Amino acid sequence: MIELLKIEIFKIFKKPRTYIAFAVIALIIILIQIALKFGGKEYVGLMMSGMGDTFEEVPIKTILNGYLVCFVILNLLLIHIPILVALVSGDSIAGEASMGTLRLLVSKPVSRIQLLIVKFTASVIYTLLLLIWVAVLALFLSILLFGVNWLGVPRELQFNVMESDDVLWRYALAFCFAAIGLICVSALAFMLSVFSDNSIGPIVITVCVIIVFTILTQMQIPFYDETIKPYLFTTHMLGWKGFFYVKAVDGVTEKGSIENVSAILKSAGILIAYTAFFLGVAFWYFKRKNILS
Amino acid sequence: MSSIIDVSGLTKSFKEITAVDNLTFTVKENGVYGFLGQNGAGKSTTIRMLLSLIKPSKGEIKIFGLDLSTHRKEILQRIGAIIEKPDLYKYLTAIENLNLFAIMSGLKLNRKQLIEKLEKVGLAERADSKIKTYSQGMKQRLGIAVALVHDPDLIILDEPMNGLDPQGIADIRQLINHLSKDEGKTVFISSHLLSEMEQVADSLLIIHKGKKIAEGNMNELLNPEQSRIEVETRSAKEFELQLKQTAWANKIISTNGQKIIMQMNREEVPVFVQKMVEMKQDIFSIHKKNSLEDYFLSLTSH
Repeated sequence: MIELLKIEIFKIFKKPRTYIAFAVIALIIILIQIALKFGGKEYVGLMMSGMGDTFEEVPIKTILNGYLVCFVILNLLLIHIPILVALVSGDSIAGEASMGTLRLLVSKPVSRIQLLIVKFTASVIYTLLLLIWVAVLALFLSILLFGVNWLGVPRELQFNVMESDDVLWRYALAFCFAAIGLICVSALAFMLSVFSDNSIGPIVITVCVIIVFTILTQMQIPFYDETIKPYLFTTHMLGWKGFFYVKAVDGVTEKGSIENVSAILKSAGILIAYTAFFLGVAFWYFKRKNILS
Repeated sequence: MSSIIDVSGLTKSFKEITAVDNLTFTVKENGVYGFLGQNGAGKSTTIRMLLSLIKPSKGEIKIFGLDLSTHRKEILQRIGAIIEKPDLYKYLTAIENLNLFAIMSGLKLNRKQLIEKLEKVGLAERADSKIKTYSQGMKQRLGIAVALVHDPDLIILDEPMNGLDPQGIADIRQLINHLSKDEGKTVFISSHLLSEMEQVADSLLIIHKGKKIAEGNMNELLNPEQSRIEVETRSAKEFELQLKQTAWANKIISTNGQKIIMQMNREEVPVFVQKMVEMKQDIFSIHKKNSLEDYFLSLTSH
């Protein structure tokens, strides 16, 4: 099994398209960092505009530190990374079918279930590497460029402040949560890939689903809040932000606290359930599929 | 000789279309077994069922005496196959492709061993070239190297000569003969190139519209003692009616337009010609038709 997994990872990283995602992420993150380095004052001013004069005396450099830059980047990127994940996961089975290699793979003495496990695991490894790449650039490069200080996270009617030694563990957990969300997207693209003999289809459908669900998630329409949003996996993918929402007593934030742990766990559970469902369908169908490509 | 493949009552339906209909055949150990049929006759579907790519609707497949539905892994361990085009990973080199499929077959080969395998198909010098730079013939040879990498007992080749130039076809023919005669492998091969099949196959299975229409040893099917003759007359139908009232009735194979095909002993041919003259038939031509192509067309053209 390990040998088969090595083959799959080898194939993924031999394809030039694999590196597009890494290059795109690097480009976007570096552009955001350049923008905040040279135009950060305006950005922070806009962000703090609703806070009255509470932070007026605080120098911009203190607020605009590596932790805040990473939060801004994640806020912008964690909706778009799934699209890059779909590029590889959507291609996983359908790409083999369109190349004509699927029939060779399935006619080898490896069970179909084993083949799917290895392929999905390889997609997950790619997804995690992509996330580690984001972490390296968004968190560590930002720390290197902007330094560290307390982190202020704006919310609708409040501003959560965390001391600098209370932040890194939150990012560690946020990245773990993001991994669960991205693996869910990977499972969706993988499932669609099993149904198709052309990799464009599963990639495009996954991207469309993410776009439509994200729009529905972000729509401020009360009717959707209770009827649709709780069931969309994209709603729960935003659960990583929960690690930066802290408990406050008399306006003072409680160090090491998380406002709503159960909501985060619920979102993680829902994402895992979606992943299990997508994979279940993929395995069920592929075991019976006639390989005609 | 024990049997390698035993297929009985094999049927595959896709919704309302029956691609393979109650097919039964046996492939004996060693030798080259030719599998013939027109486009859409059900050859590829049958081969895909033998490789467990397609699940049969009905019937049983036994390979090496084991049931394919319950011993898939053990069986596929001993089979090497090319299914239609030899599609491989274009972005990988020949040696990377070969290594990858060797691992999938449960083998761990070093570079020297892989190069030796490529040498057998004349690709050692291009071992580190990406497949996208290969010609069709080279891809086909690499496909064969991939099929043979784990030294299988049964080799299944689906249209292995497709898209090859005459030299490429000759190379494949030579390789098939070598595998069968020198290495004692059993080769199950489908092809449209009837003249090539005639040169390599020892036994034949012919299917038409999913059904078996002929099976047997090549010499039995194309018996040189038996002459197959095609007579071009004014009306084959009318001639057939006349013949059916004589002792020649059971010699008729088929009629088509102005042509009637008969099969008889070599010694009977002049007697039959005499008879035609007596029957006052207008004969435009008489041809001896004993090639595989003639035999195949006589079975499938009506």
